[in-house]
Amino acid sequence: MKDKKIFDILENAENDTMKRLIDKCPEISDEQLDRIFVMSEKKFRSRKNSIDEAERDERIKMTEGDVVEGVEHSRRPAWFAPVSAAASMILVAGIAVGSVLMLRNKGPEIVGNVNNPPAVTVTTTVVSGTSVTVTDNDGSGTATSFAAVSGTGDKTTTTTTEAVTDPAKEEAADTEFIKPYVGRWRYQTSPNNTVHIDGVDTGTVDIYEDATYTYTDKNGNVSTGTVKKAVEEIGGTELFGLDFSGNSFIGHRAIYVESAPDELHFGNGDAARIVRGTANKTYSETAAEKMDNFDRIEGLMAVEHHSSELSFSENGVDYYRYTGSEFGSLAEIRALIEDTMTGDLRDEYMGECESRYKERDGVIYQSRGQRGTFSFDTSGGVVISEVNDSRFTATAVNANFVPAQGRGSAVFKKENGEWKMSGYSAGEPMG
Amino acid sequence: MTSREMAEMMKKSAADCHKALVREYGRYVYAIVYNKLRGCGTKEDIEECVSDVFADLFMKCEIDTSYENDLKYLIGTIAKREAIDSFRRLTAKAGHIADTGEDDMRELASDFSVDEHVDRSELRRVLIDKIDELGEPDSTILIQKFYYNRNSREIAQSLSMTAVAVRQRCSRAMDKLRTKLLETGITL
Repeated sequence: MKDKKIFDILENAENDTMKRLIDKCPEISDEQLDRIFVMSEKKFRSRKNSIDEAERDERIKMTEGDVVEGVEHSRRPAWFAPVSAAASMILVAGIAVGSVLMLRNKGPEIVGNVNNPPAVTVTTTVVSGTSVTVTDNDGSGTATSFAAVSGTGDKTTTTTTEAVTDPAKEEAADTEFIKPYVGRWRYQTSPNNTVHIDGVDTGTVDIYEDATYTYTDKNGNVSTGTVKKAVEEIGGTELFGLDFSGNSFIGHRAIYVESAPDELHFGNGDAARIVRGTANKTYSETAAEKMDNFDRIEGLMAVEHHSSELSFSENGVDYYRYTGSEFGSLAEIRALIEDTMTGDLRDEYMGECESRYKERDGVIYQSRGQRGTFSFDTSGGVVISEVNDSRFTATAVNANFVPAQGRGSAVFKKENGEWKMSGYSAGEPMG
Repeated sequence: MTSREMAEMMKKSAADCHKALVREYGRYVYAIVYNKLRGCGTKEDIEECVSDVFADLFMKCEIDTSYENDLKYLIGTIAKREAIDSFRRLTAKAGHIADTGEDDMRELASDFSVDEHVDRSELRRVLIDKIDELGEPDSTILIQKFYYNRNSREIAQSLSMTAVAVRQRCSRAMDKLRTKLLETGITL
């Protein structure tokens, strides 16, 4: 121990001593060099992607040493001012006319509104407990006797009810419309009016064949109501949807949009929707799922899950039996990488997987070696940004448990219609 | 390898070029980083730092390939700077926040002593000279054993010797070194 301590003096050596220490440095194994290469390459690509993105975002393409100087002179043509004024007036007029049209075109009011004629009107005249006359809106009537009604003097009560009391009419009530919508739906809302991007599951809706529904919010509170067919005309086009009774949702009417057959949207602000079953995940859900999968893959590559007994060696690399229970075959690991990543990122992890794992006679073997990992904490959700048809960015709300990695973000690109992670980067170091 | 040679390789395949750089300079960078982080970092921390050095180098290669000299000098500089940064990060993790009174503050003027620095520098030079005087393979065995913390089996593999022979030579070489240092007035 004492012998060893004198060698500590060699730390922080000057150039000459350093040179001699380098000459005597032991050889680094190929496996270790490969590991370093993979880590370096990953960091390099991550940094390069960040720079590329920053350049693209700012539409500035500069290389080191470029200098920006000078003043750009611009002169607007003479006709610019009157044309701008005219355009502004047209815009204001358009907003005014549009507002009036929208107010006129509100569509049918919700159930229970005074504009909605009652199905049945009950008029009661009480004279020492005699009789009640019930008159429906078609003029047909039925009479019902009450056994005892207390009180004296004339009293008139008008009651409205949603139910059609005539059994014949009840049978005839059309519930055919509900059939395409029967089943379980998820109710999603967005505080930013972008439910397709950051919608959060708020509860589940079960729609039944008798045109009733049950809504269960995420706290377990249950409310029920009825569903009616709704038709709304906008600009000559008929839109179909459903009117929900009660106040379970942010609006009463949910409209069907042809481009999204498994969704019904409340209002036109993209603030809430119901989504059939598990269809149509939001960007947030997709991103969080893939980021969690990325963490699983990172864990698989960075940590040792193997027995201590050497199983075989191949090309100078020792392999040990894989003892993790998460994967049963190499094909499963490859499928997860394929499903989660795209482009260079996928190639990089596929390469690391092939060098780290071998499969023989249905058994997975792992080579030795650990490395640092990167992971996302998606438990607090993710924030979606820079969305377009082919890419978007997701940033974890929570910082990584390694403070230096900050809030990790991932770039997603579309591959054959499916979003996959194409790159990632660490956030500002925390703490 | 010069930057021009590297640029030629980059034209063919950037990944292959990066791999070649790691193969050629991996040991060199590792030794520099190890020298700075030996006392405060784990093996993983050292590898992490080495990979940072190469990531920096790859970024530099993207921007500037006009470097005519041997890349070794450039890599050495990046490695030293990156290792110092890592050293600061790792030692900062230990936490250095303390509640210090006014009286104590006077004693905290500076922990850097010029005399001590010169003494350590001189001691380092004498030690490495005496180790070199032992000749090969003894000098390599001592450095790899006590400085690079390799075990006898690993040293034996790299020097094509048996582990027993390495242990014996190490013990004798240490005795010789002790005597040589004693002659110059240094005791272990």
